[in-house]
Amino acid sequence: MDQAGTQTVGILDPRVEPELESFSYDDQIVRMFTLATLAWGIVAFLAGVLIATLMAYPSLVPDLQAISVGGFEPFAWLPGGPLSFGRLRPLHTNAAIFAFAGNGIFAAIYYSTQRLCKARMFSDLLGRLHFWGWQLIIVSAAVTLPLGMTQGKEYAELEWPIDLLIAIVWVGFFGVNFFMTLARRRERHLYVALWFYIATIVTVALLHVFNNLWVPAGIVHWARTGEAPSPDLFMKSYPVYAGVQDALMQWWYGHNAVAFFLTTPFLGLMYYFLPKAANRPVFSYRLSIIHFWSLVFIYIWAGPHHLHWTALPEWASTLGMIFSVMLWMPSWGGMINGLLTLRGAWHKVATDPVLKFFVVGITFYGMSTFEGPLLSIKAVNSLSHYTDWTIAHVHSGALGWNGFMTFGMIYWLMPRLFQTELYSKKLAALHFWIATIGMVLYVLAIYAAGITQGLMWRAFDATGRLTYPDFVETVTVLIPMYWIRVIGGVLYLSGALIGAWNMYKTWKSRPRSYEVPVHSAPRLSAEPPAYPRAQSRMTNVVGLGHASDKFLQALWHRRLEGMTFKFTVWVIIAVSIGGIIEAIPMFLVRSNVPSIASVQPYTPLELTGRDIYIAEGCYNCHSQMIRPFYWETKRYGEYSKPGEFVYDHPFQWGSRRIGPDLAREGGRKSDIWHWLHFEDPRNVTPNSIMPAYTWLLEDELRFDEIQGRVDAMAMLGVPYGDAVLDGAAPEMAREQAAEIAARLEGQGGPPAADTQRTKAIALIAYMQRLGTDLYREPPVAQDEEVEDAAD
Amino acid sequence: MAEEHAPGAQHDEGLEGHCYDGIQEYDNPIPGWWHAIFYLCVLFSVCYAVFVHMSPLWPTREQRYVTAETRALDAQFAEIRQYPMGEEKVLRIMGQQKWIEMGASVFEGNCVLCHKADGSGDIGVNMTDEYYKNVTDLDGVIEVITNGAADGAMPSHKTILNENEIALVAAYVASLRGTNLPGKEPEGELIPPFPEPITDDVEVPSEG
Repeated sequence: MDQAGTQTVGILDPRVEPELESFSYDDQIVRMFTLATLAWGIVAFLAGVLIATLMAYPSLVPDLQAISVGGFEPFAWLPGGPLSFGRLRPLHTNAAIFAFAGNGIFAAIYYSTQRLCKARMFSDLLGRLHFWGWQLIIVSAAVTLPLGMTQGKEYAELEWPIDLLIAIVWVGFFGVNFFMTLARRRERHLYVALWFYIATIVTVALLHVFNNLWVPAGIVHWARTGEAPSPDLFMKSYPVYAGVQDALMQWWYGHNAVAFFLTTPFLGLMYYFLPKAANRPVFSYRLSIIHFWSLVFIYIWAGPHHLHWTALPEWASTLGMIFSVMLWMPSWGGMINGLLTLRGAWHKVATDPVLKFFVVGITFYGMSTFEGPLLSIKAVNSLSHYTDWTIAHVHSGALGWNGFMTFGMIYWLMPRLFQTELYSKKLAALHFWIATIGMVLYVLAIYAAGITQGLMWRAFDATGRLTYPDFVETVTVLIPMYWIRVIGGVLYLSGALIGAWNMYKTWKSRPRSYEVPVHSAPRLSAEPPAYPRAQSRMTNVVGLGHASDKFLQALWHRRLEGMTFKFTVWVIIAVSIGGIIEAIPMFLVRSNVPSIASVQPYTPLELTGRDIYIAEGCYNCHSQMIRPFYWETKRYGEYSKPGEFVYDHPFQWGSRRIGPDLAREGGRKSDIWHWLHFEDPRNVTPNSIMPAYTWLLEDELRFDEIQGRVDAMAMLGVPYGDAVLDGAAPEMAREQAAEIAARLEGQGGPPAADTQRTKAIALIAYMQRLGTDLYREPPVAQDEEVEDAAD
Repeated sequence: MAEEHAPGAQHDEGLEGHCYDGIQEYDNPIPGWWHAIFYLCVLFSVCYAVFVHMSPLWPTREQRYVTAETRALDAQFAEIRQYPMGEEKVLRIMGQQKWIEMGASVFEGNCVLCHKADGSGDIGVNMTDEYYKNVTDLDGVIEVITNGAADGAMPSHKTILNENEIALVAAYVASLRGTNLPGKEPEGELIPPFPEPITDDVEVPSEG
């Protein structure tokens, strides 16, 4: 298949005699990434099935712990904290995105780039560093996330030391290796797959860096006291952005992680592996050009559609919506080019599992990129936001598009990488059908769940009362659909296990040693070839008309495809414009976040409680953002204002309400209610599906490390005042904790002496503060959190 | 779709010079509907942005909210909001079953987490007995709901419920008295019975 030396460069300069060079490809690195893809895929799907089960059967872990066989308790060792939904959900998303899809795109890029460039990867060593560095990142994630070490920003949960490692591996190992390979290529023009890889590498680097700017609290603590911080504090960091601005940056990142980690590299994958597998030419070169540039330019603007109806200024929300609408056709350009490439090869789809996976994958891409613009329309979003509709949408993308494209690629690669026949085509087809059925069950059930819950939240009866005033009613009704999701997930996982067996058996029949074919191709001449110049086809127009006609013929693009550096610069420009236009006014124009005088920084104890809230992943189920709809204010209280979040590093608006919104939770319930609720939510809400947080009632708070947290926040400009900077924070926190503990005892709780040092007290302090500042008297002289505004 | 190719391209050869590791490219024209929908989306987007942000005909988010809230409050409280807050208002609500039911709905949304769905008490007191902790009359019930009691064990609801909702839920709670459901032990003192509900249908002059 690698016909090296054929005259594939169409426009050769006859003056230069081509000098042939010999080379071979590094397929070992592709084998490594492919194996990692499948292994981590199974881990990600397993984590998904586990958290889906926790939704449907919330007392799973305590029930397992309680199993006793003749006095022997086989599951008593299971840790409640690391197995709680709030900590495991980020593990599932990170594993699916960065471990499964991540290794998958690396396998695709390492395999195809070498062949599209007619060059071995620049450095085998960098490739190994990339591989092992990435696996180290994944393992670090798998250890830290269940331990509650998280930045509390979706899909950017990994804490600062891991962030640094990601930057080094992505830019220093992967980026350098990739671009140096392009620099040494023997193919003049970059094929469209490479354009998408370029966009992926530069944009993910930009997203990662600008969304992960932080101050590490442990380092501040260490610099101040000279004492080594505890592991928790060492890992803890606060993002430099707060509130509305943090939300904008986070969803600029979050949405474009979907764009440039889960879309562009997979389009590149499609452009290489689909025509290879179908043995058909790509449908349309000019469509590639148009949909590539429109996609990368438009995608970056769309982030704010994750923040419709929130405290984000409406102009940004509108930009997010209209750019999402305009993104529909650029996305479908990729689908068209994929599906129409199969013209003349459809008969092969019936027999070839690889093409089956690709066809369903691309179809799901088309469906989710139609659904994306639909969900971005503000009116639709008012129903879908915070519900399972979003979850169904991302899973049709992740399971359908990313999963199926990856599996299709793996089945195509297996015989080539292991240089033998695929063990069983029938098993591959079985994998395909089981996974398809699982996926359809999953998304249909979860669509139904999302729309059901969204409609229940907004339902009023004839007398103007909420039809379902008790939030938990809108959750319990979903449980049957959650069970269907579990079944769908188990089927999808079973498919992957069948795939793993197939791969194992294929690998077993590999040759004793792999053949490494040697290819040869002429070195690229230093002089670019002569390109045909566009001629205007128009008559009766002025100069501008001729110029635009020549531009639209896009012959200049061919020249650009020969210039990696210029091409990359244009990609950077295209992906930067939208982000810059949205972010700069948000940071500089004061009217975007009107300040509220009564909003004050959290007390040291509340801040620490907030850190517990983040560590436990409460934001995975609870939003803190009441939208300006009557059905929301009726249920949760006055809608949220941008000025209320100016000290929220990071923002905690959330994206899903599996539990009720907490933006105005402060003062709504008594301290004892919270205490009993953490002990076991079923104490106070019989049908609650929230996990029990018994460890919070026992674990002691590190009061001595509160100063580091407060100082780090002060470095970010939070006005904590001199008292706190003098090292008074732990003492202030102890006093407030003692007050709350005394109140708790007065309300019938355990003795204050037993509770005042617990984490639960700090979390209660935070809960009781939430959303109350709006009603306080400005300015506030004291730090007590439950102080009623004077009437 | 018509099969067209750029000059020099053969049908089965793809574009000349476009061969990457054996992958060839056609240069088929982009489907007309792709262009049409794309331009329509752009047109829609421009019109939408201009209209929503520059036209006085399109209310802002905040204006829309105020309209919705006013309409809802009018519909819900048109009849009871004419009465000034206090014991008499609560007694008038108690006099009409449909209003007590509205009070029950407020109770369901705000009180059941501590007082249980039937009011028999859990973290909060049992409301079905004759004993009261911080209350001696109906005004006391209003006071406790509004400002809370027992150092926050009973939270303040003044930023959570509006005046009419407080009166409605006070009436519902008062209506539970004496149903004596088994639940939390009685707490506090036996207090005199509440006055009889006002059931007259005399139109009270509206305050305008």
